[in-house]
Amino acid sequence: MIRAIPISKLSRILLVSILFAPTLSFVGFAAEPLPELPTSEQQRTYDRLIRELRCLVCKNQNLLDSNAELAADLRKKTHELVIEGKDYQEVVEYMTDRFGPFVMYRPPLKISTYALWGLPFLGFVLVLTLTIYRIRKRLQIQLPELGDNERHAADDLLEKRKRDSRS
Amino acid sequence: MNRSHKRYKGIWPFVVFCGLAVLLYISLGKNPEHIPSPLIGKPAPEFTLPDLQNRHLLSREDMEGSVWLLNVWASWCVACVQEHPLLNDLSNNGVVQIVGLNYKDIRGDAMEWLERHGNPYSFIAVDATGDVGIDYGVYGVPETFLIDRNGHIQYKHVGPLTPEVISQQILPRVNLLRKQGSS
Repeated sequence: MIRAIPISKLSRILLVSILFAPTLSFVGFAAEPLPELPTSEQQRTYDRLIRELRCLVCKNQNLLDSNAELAADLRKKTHELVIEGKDYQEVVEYMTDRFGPFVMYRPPLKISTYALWGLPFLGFVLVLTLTIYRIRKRLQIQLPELGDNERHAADDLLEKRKRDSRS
Repeated sequence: MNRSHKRYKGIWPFVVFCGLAVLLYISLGKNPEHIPSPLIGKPAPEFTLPDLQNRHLLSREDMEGSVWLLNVWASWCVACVQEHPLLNDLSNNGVVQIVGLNYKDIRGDAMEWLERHGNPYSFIAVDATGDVGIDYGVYGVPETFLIDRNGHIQYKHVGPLTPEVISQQILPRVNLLRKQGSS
């Protein structure tokens, strides 16, 4: 006997499969048979490198994410270099010697990039101090002390108002 | 005094806006495709590659003593068709020697392509795997390198050459390098 699946359940299954379809095809693209590296240490270095190195054709993707042919070539090169025994820093130097510092996703901290790294912090500190300064200033505003005559005048006014509202 | 101070307070957002506008306008004029090469002023990377007919091996040293262009091209590269007439002109007028680096291509396709579009190259080195391309930091074919008599890279252009690039960037440098070398 065939058990009917309720419509609501069916549509939910359909919806979920539609939602996940793009991720499935993406996994299909990204999978590329580069042999596992001999040691787990090397594998870690390689995994770190392909996340940190930029694909220069597609600029906003790293080597891991990119399907571009250049990215595949650079992954292969990285793989070779790691097998040769090069460590993280040596592979980074190899790449920046050829493609320039732009090949690194995160710009290195050096004299020419101090402004790049420093300005956001500077801006944050500036805005923070300005905000604190303004809040403190606002809290310091005090009402001027009333003199005797002024106090009497105020009392009279309040008194008068009370009378008016009663009548 | 306090009052005039207050009056100018409102101007700050405007000043910040103007600053940002200027900054963005300047950046707008920059070409994001242009990534400065770290190879400028450095020795051109060594290579030893077969030529297109697979008869000889070519290496960088073969060109020592002359000012030359290394043009990275491929038959699958669409923009290469666009710049090719300019390379033909440079070669026909004997302005400068051009060496082709046939990048990740198939021999038959490359030969056919040259028959159709003309062959401006004195030599063609075949980089089938793209390894030499990586050494030269190639990321967007076509690319053109200007290399001096001592084998140092003096200029690099990424993307198809234009008449402006040739007349304003390449030719003045070629003339200068020739003069420097002969004195």
